[in-house]
Amino acid sequence: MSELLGNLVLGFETALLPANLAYCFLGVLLGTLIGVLPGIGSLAAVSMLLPVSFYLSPEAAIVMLAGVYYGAEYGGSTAAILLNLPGTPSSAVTAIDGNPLAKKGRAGVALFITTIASFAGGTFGIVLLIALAPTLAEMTLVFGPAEYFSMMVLGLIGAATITGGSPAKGLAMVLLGLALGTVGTDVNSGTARFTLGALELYDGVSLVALAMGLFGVAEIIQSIHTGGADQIRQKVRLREMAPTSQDMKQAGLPMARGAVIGSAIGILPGAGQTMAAFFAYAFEKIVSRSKNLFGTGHIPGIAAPEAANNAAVQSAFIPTLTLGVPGSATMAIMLGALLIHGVAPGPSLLNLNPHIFWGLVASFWIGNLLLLILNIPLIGLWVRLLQIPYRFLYPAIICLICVGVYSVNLSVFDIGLVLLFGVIGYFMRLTGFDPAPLVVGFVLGPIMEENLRRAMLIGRGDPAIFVDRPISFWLLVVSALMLVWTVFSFIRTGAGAPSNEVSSTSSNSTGENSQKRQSDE
Amino acid sequence: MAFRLRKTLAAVCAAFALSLPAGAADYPERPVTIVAPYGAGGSSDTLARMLAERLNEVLGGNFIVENRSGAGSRVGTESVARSDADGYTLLLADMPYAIVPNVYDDVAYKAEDFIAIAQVGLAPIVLFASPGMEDASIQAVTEKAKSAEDAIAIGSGGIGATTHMVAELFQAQVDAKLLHVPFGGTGPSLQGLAGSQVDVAFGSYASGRSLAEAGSIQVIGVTSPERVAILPDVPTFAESGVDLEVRHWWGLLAPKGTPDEIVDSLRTAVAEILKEDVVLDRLSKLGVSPGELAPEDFQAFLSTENQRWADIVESAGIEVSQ
Repeated sequence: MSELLGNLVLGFETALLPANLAYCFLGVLLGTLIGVLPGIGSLAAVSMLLPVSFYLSPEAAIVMLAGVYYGAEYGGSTAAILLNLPGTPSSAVTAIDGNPLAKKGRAGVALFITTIASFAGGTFGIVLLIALAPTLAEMTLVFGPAEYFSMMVLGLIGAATITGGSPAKGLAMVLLGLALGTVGTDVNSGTARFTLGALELYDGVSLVALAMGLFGVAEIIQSIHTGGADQIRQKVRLREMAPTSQDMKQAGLPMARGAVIGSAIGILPGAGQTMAAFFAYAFEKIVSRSKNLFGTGHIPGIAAPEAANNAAVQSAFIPTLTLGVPGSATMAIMLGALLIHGVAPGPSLLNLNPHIFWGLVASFWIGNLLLLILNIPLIGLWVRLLQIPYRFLYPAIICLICVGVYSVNLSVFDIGLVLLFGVIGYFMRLTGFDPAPLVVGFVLGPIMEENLRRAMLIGRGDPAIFVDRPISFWLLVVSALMLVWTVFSFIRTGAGAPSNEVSSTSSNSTGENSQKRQSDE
Repeated sequence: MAFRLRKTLAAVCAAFALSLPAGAADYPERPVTIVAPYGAGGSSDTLARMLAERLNEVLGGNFIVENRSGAGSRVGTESVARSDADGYTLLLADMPYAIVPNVYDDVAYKAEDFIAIAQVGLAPIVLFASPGMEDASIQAVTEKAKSAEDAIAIGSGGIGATTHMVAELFQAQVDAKLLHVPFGGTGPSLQGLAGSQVDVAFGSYASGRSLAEAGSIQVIGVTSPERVAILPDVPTFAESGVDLEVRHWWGLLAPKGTPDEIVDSLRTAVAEILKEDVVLDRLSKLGVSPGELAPEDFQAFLSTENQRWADIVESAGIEVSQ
């Protein structure tokens, strides 16, 4: 215990050095802005900043890059709530309930809650990092292909609950997402699938292009359709920004559950923040006693995913720092930033360079605090964005989306792709198809397929591997129970109150009328 | 008025003169792009940036690095192959450069399409074993592999990846068939190894160093001709009676047709840079030793590498349908 305290003191000493503090602030400020701007993500920002970091000390470099990374998750919810334009793929989940809240005139409250949830989630992730990093890192190694597969099964069943509209349409979207996920080079055979001869599709469809197209561009096309008549025009006074005690009570438990789920998923390499947010949202909806309020501007629907994606972004550092196993492309760049300075992550990082490890961990928390302080006053400013007529705001946003999508792979192809998905997304809205389950299928599908086939290969063709391994077995059991329960509760509520099922597509036009709290059980 | 006209004409003439094909003396007169065909932060990116930084000083120009990743190294490499051979677009190639055209049949370049400027770096490839394997050694793995088909599961970074090709080379040398389990990159394959999902896997030492130091994987052999300084206790394959000698290489290449004078000035400059202490220090931090071959020998090496992988792809029957 005293050793831990000593380490933390060392960490804060390093992190509070004026230079490191300045780079931390710069990182989180930049991260928030990048997060707010739809399309431009942390991957592009961190890639662009990497060359600059060669000229900094290793601590300052990694502190800044990390700040951009988790700062972006804070900012991502802003445009999602105000404009229904997710700033990052993971905040597409926040838009489901966040935007209806804005339409009810509660944008300030929604932004306030997501900021608090982000801080709570981030803090929980950091505490895990401090207390259990080496143990948890070892545990991720136990997570093999069978476990990944079973977890994806659980996730897909959860995905079915995310959609508010018709279950058949939701299922169709999950399948479309799975199909889109098969595009690209097949890991197991090296075969290029459905690439239509385009090298740009060898690595699959870009998640950023998909999410920004279906949610962002589609929203903008729809506003042309409505002529901007649905623009939210509201002035928010500081007094109205503060959530009521009722709001806070509603947000508390979902925030805590979101933080736990998010941290757990963040540790797993390859899973990521989008999956964390979706899982947390699906879990909230399953345990909630007022399911039909989700999608209409329900506070737990923003608190849980925001806590989850920020917890995930912090816990993702656990395998990266302790094992040198980067879970995402952005993490790989940060690992590169350390290696360039001759600092090898892994157990030796804790022994040889404790000031870097603990300094970084301390900077996370300082960064989260800075983000909290930074974001609360900014809420007023962001809400004022709504005063700008859409005819000025949206062309600028389309440009930003194109720049952002291009910056991920420096690929003009992806700009065409985002616009194409925008048009598809618009027609999906017209026909009442919800894009959220599509994105879930797209994210989970490739991981599920790759791991299914790898598990079968390693098991020499024997499917018993999925039930012989205990974690995988229990994940499958929970999946089965959840499936039964989903079907059962659908039959009960579906038969009793069929009107609930159509109340919440992500176009959110029916937000106001189902506000009355219904006790369904 | 007449005076001003003459002045303008003179300026126009000067502008035309500048745009004429220039000799090496003027190179570089505009920014030179070094394409690293992978994302930021990896070894190729780091080496490209280091070269660009030093070339800026030695040749006094503006060398910039462009990360063009996608489809392995193909998007970046093919884009350089298609660019003008004027010395203003260069490629930082590595081992897959000679492998990829043999694995895929629709690759838009051949190994002969580039001129070698310099072999920039070399790094040994290491055979790692799972933490639970007892008495893990090259001999033990070889014996068990020969005892039955698929007795040993070997992880790789994907079909046609360097780690897969080295695994095929190993199988050809010891005449055994291993169960090949492809992962989406060397990182994930070593993670799978640490979780004992596979028994062995090849990889650069840099990619498995953290896991090895944590005791999560074992290091059992190096593919370099001699033992390496950072791993003095790890035997080479040659010592263990297996003829397997491969090293990961990085090289600076220019598209075929680049003017000789420019190629020569780049060759001289990079050769100088690779002798600098700062550069050697930065290379060693990455676990990379400086290139050993002279440009002409490196050119020949590219052809032999190409042939070696062509043979392996054919004998192992690696088939990738499009």
